[in-house]
Amino acid sequence: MEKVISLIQYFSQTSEFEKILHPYILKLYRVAYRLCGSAADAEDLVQDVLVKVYPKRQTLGSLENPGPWLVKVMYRTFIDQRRRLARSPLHLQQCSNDEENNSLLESIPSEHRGPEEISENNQVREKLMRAINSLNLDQKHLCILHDVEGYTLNELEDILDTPIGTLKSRLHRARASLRKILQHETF
Amino acid sequence: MNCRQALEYRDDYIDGYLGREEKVAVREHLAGCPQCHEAFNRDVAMLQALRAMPVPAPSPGFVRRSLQQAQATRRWRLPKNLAPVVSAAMAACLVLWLVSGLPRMINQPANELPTAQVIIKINEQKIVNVVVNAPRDLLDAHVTIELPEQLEMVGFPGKTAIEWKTDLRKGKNLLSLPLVAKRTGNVELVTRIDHDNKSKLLKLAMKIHNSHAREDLHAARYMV
Repeated sequence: MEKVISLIQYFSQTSEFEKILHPYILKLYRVAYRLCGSAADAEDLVQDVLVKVYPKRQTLGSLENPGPWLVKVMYRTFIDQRRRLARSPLHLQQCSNDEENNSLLESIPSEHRGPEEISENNQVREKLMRAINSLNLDQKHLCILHDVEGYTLNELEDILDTPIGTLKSRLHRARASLRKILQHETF
Repeated sequence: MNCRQALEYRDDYIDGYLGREEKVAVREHLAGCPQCHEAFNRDVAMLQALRAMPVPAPSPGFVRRSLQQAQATRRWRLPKNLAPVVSAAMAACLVLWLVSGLPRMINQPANELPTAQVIIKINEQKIVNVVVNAPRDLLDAHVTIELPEQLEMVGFPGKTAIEWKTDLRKGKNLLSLPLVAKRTGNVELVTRIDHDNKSKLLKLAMKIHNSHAREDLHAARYMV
C-alpha cells in the first residue's frame, strides 16, 4: 500500500512539474532564440533545460519566482554547450527538412502596414541585429537579457553570476557601442 | 546639473536605476536642454526597437511536447522503492515496443550494424557522410572515429582515433568526415557512439585503389 501511495505521489509530482513550468516555457524559448539565433536551436536548448530541471522540481516548486532561476539554468547550459562545441574536433549537424525561417526580417509581417513601412522596419531590425552581433559576447548576452528581454541588473547579477558594478559598466559600454553603430538610424 | 553629468546618468535614468534626487535633477535638466532631451528620447526609441524585435513562433505543440519529453527522459530513473512496482509494467511495454519495430535503443555489448562500402582512390579527398539517427535526444554522447592507417582525417594528420563528447538530437544527425586515402587496401572506418554505458558501432568498409573511384558522396545511415 505504501508503495502505491509513493507511486501516486511520484506521478503527481510530474504533473506538478508541468503546472509550474508551463507558464515559463515560451518566455524561455524567447530568451533561447535571442541567444541561439535559430528556432530549432532555441527549442533544443529549452528542451535540454527542462530535462535538467526535472529532477529539481521540488526546488522549483519552492521558488517564489522561478523565472530568473530557469533563465540562469538556461544561460549556464547555453554557455556549456558553446564551450563544448568549441572543443569538438568535428561537428554533428541536425538534418532537417523543415524550412525554418531564420530571418528576423521575414517574421514580422503586419496586416496594418504597407510594404514600404514593412521594408523600413525590416531594415531597422536588420541593423539592430547587426549592431547587437557586433558587441563582444559578454556585452551581447547582457544586452539581450537586459535591454531586449527586460531582466533587471539585480536579477542578472545572479543569472550571469557577475557583480552588479561589472554589469553596469558593461551595459554602459554596450549602449555606447550601439549608439555609435546606430547613430544615423531612425527608430 | 550640466549636460555632461546628465549624459553620464542617462542609462541609469532610462532604466529606472536612479535615486529620487538624481532623477529629479536629470528631469529638470532635460526640461531646459533640447539637445539632451533629444539624446534621451533617441535612446528610449532605440531600446523600444530592441524590445520589439520579433521572435518566430516555436513549432506547433512545442510546449506540450517539451514538457512530456523532459519527463519521459527522466522518468525511468524511479526512486529505488518504486522500481519493483513499476518494473513489471515497464517490461510489458518494452516487449510491445520491440515487437512494434520502433527505433532501436543502444544495446550492450556494442551492437554492430550492416556494413556499407565506399570506394576511394589513393590521395583523393572524399567527404563521407555518416547519418546517426537517434531515437531521442542523447546528451553528452561520446563519439569515436577509428581510422585505419591507410586513411587520414583532414586536419588530424597521423591520428588513428578522434573522440569527443557531444549532444545527439532526436532524429538524423549528420557527421561529415573529410577523409584522404594514403595507401591502397580494403579497410574499415569505425564510428562508435557511447551513451549511458551502451554503445553502437558502424563499420564502413572502404576500398582504396589506384584507379578511378566513384565521385559521388556516400552516406551511411544507422540507428542508435
